[in-house]
Amino acid sequence: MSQLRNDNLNDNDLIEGCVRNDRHFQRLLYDKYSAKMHGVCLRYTEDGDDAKDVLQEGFIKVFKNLSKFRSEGSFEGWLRRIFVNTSIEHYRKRKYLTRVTNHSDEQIEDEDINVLHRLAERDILAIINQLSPGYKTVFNLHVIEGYSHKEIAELLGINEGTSKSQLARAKSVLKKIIETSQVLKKENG
Amino acid sequence: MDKLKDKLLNYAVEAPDDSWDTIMHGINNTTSSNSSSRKISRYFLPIAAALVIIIFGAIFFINKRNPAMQIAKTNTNSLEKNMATFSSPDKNILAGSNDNPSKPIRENINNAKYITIANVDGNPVKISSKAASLIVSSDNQYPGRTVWNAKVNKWKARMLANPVTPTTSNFLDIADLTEALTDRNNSDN
Repeated sequence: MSQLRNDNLNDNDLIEGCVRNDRHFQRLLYDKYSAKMHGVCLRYTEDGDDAKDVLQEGFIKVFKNLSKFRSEGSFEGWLRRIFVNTSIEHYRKRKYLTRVTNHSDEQIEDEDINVLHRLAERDILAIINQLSPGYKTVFNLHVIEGYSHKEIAELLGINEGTSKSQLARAKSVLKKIIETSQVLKKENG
Repeated sequence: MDKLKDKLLNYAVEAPDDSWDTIMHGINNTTSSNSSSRKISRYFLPIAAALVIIIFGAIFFINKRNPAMQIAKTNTNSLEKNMATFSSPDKNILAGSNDNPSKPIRENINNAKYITIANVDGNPVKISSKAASLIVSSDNQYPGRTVWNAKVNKWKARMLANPVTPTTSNFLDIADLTEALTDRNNSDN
C-alpha cells in the first residue's frame, strides 16, 4: 500500500482538506489514524473481518460528518468515539449484547487483572477476546476508554446496574483466564 | 489498571490493504446516491405539483360543466335528510297504509304497497306507493327532481284551469273530463 505522508500538516489542515472532499487529504487522514482506529475496532469486535467492516464503516462516517467537528475536544477523541459507537452499532445489529441483571457477589481487585499489562498487546487482546461480546464491550468501555457506568448504560441501552454486573463478571472471567493462562504463569514465574 | 489501559488505548494495527478502496467506494456511493435522490426530488416536486393542479382543474371543470348533476346530488342528499325527519302535517297524508306516522315516511313508503292521501274533499284515497315520489315532487319544499317538479307544476296549472274537478264516481264527470281534454287537444293543435 502506497503511503502518502506529509508531516507538516496538522489535524486542522487535514480536516479542512477532507471537508473540501479532497481525496488527497482524506487519504492522509486515513493513513494517520487508520492503525489506531483499527486497534479500537479489534478490541470491540469478534474477529479481523468484523474489525475491518467496522473500520471501513467508521471512516465513511468520519468523512461524511467531519464538517460537524467543532474542534472543542481532541480530534483523536472524536474519531475514537465514532469508532466505538460504530462497533457497538455493529454488535447491536447482530444482537450480541446480552443483558444480565443479576449481580456478581465476587469482588475482583483491579490488581488481579492488571497483571495483563505484562503481556504483549496482541496477547492481551487474545485474552480479552475470550470474553462474551457483552462483557468485552463493557470492559473496554469502562476500563480502557474510561466511560462511567451511567454513560455505558446510555450508550448500550441498559441500566447502570447491568453495566456494573457485566463489568464484575468480565473481571471474574478474566481472572479465571489469567489463573489458567500458561503465558502468565511463565511471566509470573 | 492504568498500565493496561495505556497499553490497549494506544494499541495500533496496520489497517488491511483494501480498506481504503472500500472506504472510497462507500463515500462515492453515498455521494452519488445523495445526488441522485436530490435529482429525483428536484424533478419529482414540480411533476407532483403539476399533477395535483391538473387533477383539481379537471374536477373543477367537470363540476362546472354539469352543475345540474352537482345540484341534483346535493338536493338528493337534502331530500333524503328531510324525508327521514319529515314532520310537517303532510306526513299523515303520505303515511303508509299501516297508519304509523311515527315511522319515517321513506320507510313507510318502501314497506307499503299502497299509501293513503287526502283528496281535495279531505277524504282518504289509496294510491300506489310508486306515486309517492310524484307527490313529493309536487311539493316545492323538495326540489329534488327538477324535471318532475316542472312537469307536476305544469299539470297542476292545467288542472286548476279546468272549470270542473271530475271524480271517478260520477259518469257525467267522466264525460265532462273527456270533453275538456278533447277541447284542450284541439286548442293545443
